[in-house]
Amino acid sequence: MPLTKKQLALCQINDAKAQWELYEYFKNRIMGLCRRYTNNREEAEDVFQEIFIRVFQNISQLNDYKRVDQWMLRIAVNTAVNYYHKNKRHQHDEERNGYHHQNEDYELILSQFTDEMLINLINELPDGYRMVFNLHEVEGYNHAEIGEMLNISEVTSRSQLNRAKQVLKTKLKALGVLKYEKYG
Amino acid sequence: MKNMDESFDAKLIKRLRNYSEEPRLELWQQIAGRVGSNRLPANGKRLRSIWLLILGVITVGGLLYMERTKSGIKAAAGMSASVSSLSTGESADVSSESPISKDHAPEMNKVISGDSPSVSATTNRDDVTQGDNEVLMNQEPDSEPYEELNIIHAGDKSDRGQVENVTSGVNEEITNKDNKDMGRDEKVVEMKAVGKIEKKDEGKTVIREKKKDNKLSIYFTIMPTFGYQRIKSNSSDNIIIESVKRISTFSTDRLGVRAELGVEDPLTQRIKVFGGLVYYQRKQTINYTEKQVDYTEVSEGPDGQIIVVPKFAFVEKSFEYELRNLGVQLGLSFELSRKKLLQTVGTGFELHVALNKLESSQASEFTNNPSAYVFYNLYYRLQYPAEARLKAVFQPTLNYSFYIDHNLNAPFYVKPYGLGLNLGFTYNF
Repeated sequence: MPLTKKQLALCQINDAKAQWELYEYFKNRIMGLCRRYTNNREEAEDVFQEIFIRVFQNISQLNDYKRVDQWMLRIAVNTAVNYYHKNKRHQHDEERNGYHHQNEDYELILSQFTDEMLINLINELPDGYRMVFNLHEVEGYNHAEIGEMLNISEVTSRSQLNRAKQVLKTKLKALGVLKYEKYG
Repeated sequence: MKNMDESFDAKLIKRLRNYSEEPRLELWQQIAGRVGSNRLPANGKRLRSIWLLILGVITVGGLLYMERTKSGIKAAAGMSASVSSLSTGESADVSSESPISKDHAPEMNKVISGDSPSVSATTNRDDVTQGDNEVLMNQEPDSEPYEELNIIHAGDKSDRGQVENVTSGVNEEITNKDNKDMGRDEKVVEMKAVGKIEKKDEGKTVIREKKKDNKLSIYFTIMPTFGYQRIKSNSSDNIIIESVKRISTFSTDRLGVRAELGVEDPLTQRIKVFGGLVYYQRKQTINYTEKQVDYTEVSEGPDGQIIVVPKFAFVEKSFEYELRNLGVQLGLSFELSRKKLLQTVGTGFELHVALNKLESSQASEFTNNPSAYVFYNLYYRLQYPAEARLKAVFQPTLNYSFYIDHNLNAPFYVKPYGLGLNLGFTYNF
């Protein structure tokens, strides 16, 4: 059931019950987002907490309650990006020697994977790749916006996205083959 | 192949977008603990702080007013005692003879008898000297405020007229014209709190009000200000600031404005408490060069290790830091000297609420979104001319921000202290 205007208004005056209801409403989606943007569950939980703290601290700025979903999402993405900046590791393109796969049925491979496995794949991407991939492919930001958010050029954003996709497919393929060998 | 890839991409993205996961229960407890469920929201806290400050100003003002009123009553009570002693000098004890005087004692009405048609007296008197028309008691020329007692023969119109010629500020006036029970010549006692006493022709006492320093005054100040915020680069954000361009001391990039409307009340001759509203706008533009990794060169070392060499590019950036606040202030000032120039030092606290809110579309960014500030100020103020209502002001101010509820979306911090140079005018109403 979607959140009501009253619930959000109560959140704005720090009503504990309303805050809990907002948390309950968004927690799974936000945790899913956190898992996509971070390396592991531990990091995801750090970002998750930070997101909700910021949400409750800034909810007085939410004027249009109908846009609470977008507002939450933006805070979540911004927090994840800030976390990335704070914890940016000096990783470089260790995955650039991608394999070329032709006529591989990725859809079939994908269908064999659980969501958890998929998230683990995303987690294994180098930080920069993962950020660009999530921002562009999942959230729908364009390369100019991503460049601004991550302090990289548009060209870098594009190339990192391509590489991210390539790496993802490579990993899928490799895991898929293993899976087939193990269970097939 | 391409279509196949696109289909794969779409399915992958859809699954990722819809991915959700149940967080651990403990996470809510940690969040609730950090947020503090019973805590007031930011707006509530701000409002409460403003109200507390206003209440503080009102309380201090009220206490000062009560203190002053109390000292006025004490002075009047002292005067009443003097009147009694004066009356016993020439007549029978009025208080013992006259029920009226007893009845009216709380109202400080005294009826006394005597030969003098008009008597003037001051408080703090030890001796009583009675002349033909006036009595001045141990008057101390420097003591203030003076209080004067005029005793007027009820039936003598001309004497009343004389008294009415007295040019004095009247704080209290007590008359009793209904003392017919007395059965003797009646005199009406008037008590007057006055300033300077002058002798006029024929020994008549003329009292002129001495200008009092201890009264509330309203002031208005407007001052352009130059901000000198200290800037410190953020060392934890992986952004390299190559250099920050220096802005000249009196550049318009530093320019802001400050306006104050308030009241000041002297606690002593030199110390004043002041409080009121403040409009504060301060701007500082920071131009800096950022060092960015443009690309990296990857090569293989002799032992097979991968060598990564980053190549940097320099990007000119600019960041404008602006405060536009409305606030309240409360402080104390100390007068150092008052010659041609009035020199004061002062200190105080200011609570500000930001006026430059972000648009709702930007609100979720929660960066660059100042909302509340608490400043501690220390200033030295030069005013010219010292005695005029309209004064030119030169005022260097050091301020320290105890609390800044905002985040800058920039790779540096603005340090919480700054120096302001104010040039402007004050007007005392």
